[in-house]
Amino acid sequence: MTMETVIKLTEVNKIYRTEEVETQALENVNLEVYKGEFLSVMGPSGCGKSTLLNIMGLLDEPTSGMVELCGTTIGRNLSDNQLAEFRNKTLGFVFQSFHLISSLNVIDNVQLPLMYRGVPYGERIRRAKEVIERVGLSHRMKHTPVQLSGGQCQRVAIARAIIGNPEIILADEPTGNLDSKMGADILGLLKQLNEEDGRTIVMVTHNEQQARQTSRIVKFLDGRQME
Amino acid sequence: MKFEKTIDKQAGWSPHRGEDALWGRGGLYVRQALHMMREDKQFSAIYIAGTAVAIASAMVVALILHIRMGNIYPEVNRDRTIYVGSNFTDSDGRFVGYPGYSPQAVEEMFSHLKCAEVVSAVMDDDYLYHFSACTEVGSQEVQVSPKFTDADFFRLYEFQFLDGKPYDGENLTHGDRCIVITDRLAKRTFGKSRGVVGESLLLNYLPYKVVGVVKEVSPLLIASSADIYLPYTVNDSRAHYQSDEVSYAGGLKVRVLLKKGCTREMLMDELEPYKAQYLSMLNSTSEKEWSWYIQVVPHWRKTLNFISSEVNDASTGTLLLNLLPPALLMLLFLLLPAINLSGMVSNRMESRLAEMGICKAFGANRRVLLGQVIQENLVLTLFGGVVGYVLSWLFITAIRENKVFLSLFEREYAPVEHVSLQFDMFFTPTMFLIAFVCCAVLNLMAALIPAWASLKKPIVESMNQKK
Repeated sequence: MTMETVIKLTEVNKIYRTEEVETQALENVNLEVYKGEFLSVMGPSGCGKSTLLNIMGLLDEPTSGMVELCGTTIGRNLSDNQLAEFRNKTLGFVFQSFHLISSLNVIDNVQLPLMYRGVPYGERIRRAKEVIERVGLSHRMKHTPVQLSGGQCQRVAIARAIIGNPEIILADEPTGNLDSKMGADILGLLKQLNEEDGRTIVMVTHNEQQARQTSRIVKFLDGRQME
Repeated sequence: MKFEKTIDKQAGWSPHRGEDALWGRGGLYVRQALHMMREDKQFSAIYIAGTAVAIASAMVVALILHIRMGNIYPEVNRDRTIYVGSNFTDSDGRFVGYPGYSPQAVEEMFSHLKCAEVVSAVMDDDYLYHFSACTEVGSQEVQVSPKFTDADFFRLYEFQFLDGKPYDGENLTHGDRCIVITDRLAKRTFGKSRGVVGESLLLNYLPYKVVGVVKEVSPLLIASSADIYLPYTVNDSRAHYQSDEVSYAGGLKVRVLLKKGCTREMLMDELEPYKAQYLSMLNSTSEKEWSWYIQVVPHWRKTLNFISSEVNDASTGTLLLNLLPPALLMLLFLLLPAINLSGMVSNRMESRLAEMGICKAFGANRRVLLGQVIQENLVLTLFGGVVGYVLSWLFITAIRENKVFLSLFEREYAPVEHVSLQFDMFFTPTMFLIAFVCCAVLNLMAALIPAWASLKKPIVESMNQKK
């Protein structure tokens, strides 16, 4: 049986230029991620892992090369609105520093992607409550991020990432700011989403032990894919 | 389109752009704005205070212009009102000494004008006269200010008669001692504002019959305000309004209400033949060579006298040049608080770029984010607007009796005792709306420019922006 490719990077390069220096963050990266896969991206700091994830998540543009997500070639052929819609419906993000909006409470943070999709208020609140319950934070719905622990914030971030039922979840060091127990909890939650819901997950991590629990590991060094 | 089909299939929810969704979004933004206000109290307080000051400044300027130029009770036709002045000069350059027209001139020149709906003649020297009023000898006297008018004065200005009616042409012709008084004066002298028509009021101990009671006019409306209105013919000093040397020169100022569609130029054209004919006659019988300048001034030009006395006669170009410095000063007065505010808003937007990056990552497009910025700012501006509105009230209350403030409205302003200003004259919803919109636009621009710049950056750059 052939596996369906949901992310395909071909000859992707990313160069950061300033007036004085030029830094090659990614060099000729060729990578395919398959539907339902839980892929770990590993490597030392500055090797280009996060850059790779940002390019996969359409948060940044490659300097050259081709990005294909769910059969759609991403490039300048897509307008700002189309890219926004694509991110909204196809991708979910979990960041190391959570990136929750401090002025919104848990339920409002979680419903955000559905709001941008134009889902009616009642429907998105119902769905937000469902996913918040799933990440075990029903009792914290009205709390703001500053009233939550790091682990709870990351759970909120995961709830926000999955509320729109995206095909792909991109997690950039999701346990990086958490202690080992909380980290294990979050990884368990991501594994559950992968195994039970069949979501494709790409996770950047430094943690070898956590990476070994995923279905595949790719390693990067100095912007190049090593294995 | 293939792309749209793909993402719709993957979506899980069908796109819905209903009103409910939009309201929900607006509600969230408002909640977010309120939360931010509570969270950053210092910024919010300064922002609201700044907006309030900006709006209050705008309103003060607007109200000065409104009082001077707007259609306000009873001067509700200011946009069609023309003041016609007169100036006779002999060959030595000496003025005749009478600032207006004689009754003869009013009758002969102005009674048949085609473009005039109403022509009214009033004495120009009201402020020289002071009356004491009382109901009977020995009773308490009050000082009152008079206005000597003709009967058409009450057609030119739409007074609200609470009781009785104005005096008529017959009263004027016969010099009847009949008066129209304000409701305030009626209360002060008779103890009531109704039921005093037919009663007698002693003015400088001479009895005058009250024929009407009108709603009081603010003294800021110098053209129409007084405590008592009398036919100008009751004034004994007839010399005041009739020159022996030049029969058309006198003490009456003429005000013309133009018919709709007529212009100042049309009025000037109509007056020109009268001028030529009279001058010709005058110069053929007088030992001196007279010249006659008729000044035809629309209300809006007359009101600009406080800026420069030259504006009545100036060409439009000169007028604009005259107006430029005070206009720039006013603009500065308005813009300074608003610009300060804009700087603050701009700084705050910079600190929120990371949040905008997050929103973009989860599917917000530029239009949605700019909409959010607009709504949040409007909430804050609205708070500032309300405070500004209250501030303007307090400001006006504090200075409304101040002579320096009142001098902005009329150079020769003569304060009238015990007269209050009507607030409804100052605070019209339109004025507040204009001031509010000006501030909102400026604040929005200050917020939208950094927001727009951030939206053009790659999302990851915005997200990594330090808060």
